[in-house]
Amino acid sequence: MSVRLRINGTDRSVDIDPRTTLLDALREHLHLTGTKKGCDHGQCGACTVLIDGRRINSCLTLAVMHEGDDIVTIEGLGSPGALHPLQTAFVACDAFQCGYCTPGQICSAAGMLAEVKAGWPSHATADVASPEIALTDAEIRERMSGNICRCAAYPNIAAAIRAVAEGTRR
Amino acid sequence: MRPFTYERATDPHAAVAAASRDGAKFISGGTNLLDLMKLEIERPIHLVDISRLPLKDIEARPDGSLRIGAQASNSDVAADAQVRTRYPVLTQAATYAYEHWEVGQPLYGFIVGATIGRGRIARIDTSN
Repeated sequence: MSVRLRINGTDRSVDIDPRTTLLDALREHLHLTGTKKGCDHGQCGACTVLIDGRRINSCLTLAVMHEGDDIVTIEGLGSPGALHPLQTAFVACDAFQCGYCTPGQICSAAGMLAEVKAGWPSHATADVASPEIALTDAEIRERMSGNICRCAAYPNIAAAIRAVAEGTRR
Repeated sequence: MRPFTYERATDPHAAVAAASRDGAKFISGGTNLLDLMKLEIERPIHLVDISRLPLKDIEARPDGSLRIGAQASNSDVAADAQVRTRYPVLTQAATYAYEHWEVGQPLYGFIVGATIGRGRIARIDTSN
C-alpha cells in the first residue's frame, strides 16, 4: 500500500506492506540509516525518533499509522555543517564510544528535554505535584533509561545532556 | 510477523464494527501488540487502528471522580495537573504501567507512546 510520510520536513511516499515498522520504512525504503535497529523489541532505544515532538521507539509502531505525522530523525535534527546543540555536546563531552546508540540517545534527549520543559514528572521526581522539574542527575538518568549504551558511556551522556539543559536555561 | 490487512477507524462505532470480524484486533499505541506479533504470539489477520480516535481527554466529573480516555498515553496521565495534585500515586504508577511485570521496572522510553489501557485493547464501550 502507498503511504505518505512527512519526514524531516519533506513529504515522502513509500509503497510498503502493512507489516512494515516505521523503523524499517526509514532504513530500508527511505535509506535514512541514521536511525538504528538494535533489539527490534522496544527495549534498547536505538531506534528512537520524534513524532510530533514526542519520542517513540520506531520499531514498535507501524509506518502506516503515521501518515501525515511530523516525523523527525537524527538526519533532521542537525547536519554536519549545522549540528544540533545535543550533537555538539555529545562530541564535546565524548558521550559515545562505538556510536551505535547515539542517534537514539540524541533524539531521546531532545524529546526528554521538551518533556522536562513542559513539566512532566518522572519516577525520580520527588514532588510530582510541583510544575517545576529540577533536572538532577537522577532525573536525567531515569528519563533516559529507555536508551541502552553497551559501551556504558552513561556519565558522559548525562554530562552532555546537562550541558545542553543548562545552556538552554541561561 | 504474519501478514494482515490494515484500516484506520474514523469513529468508535466504525472501530467496533470493523473489529468484530474474525481475527481482527485493535491497535492503539502498538507497544505491546506489535512486540507480541513479531514473536507470533499474537497473529491478527486484520488490524483496526484506533490511535486517532478522540478518546484522549482526562476530565474531572461532578461526583469528584476523574474520567481517563482510553487513548491517553501513560505520559499524558502522569503529567496531567489534576492527576498530579489529586491522585499523585497514579502518576507514580502510570509511568510504569506495562504488561510484563516479571521484567521488573520497564524502561522509560515505553511510556511516552504506550496508552494507559494496560495490555491489549479487547473492546470499546461506545455507549457514551
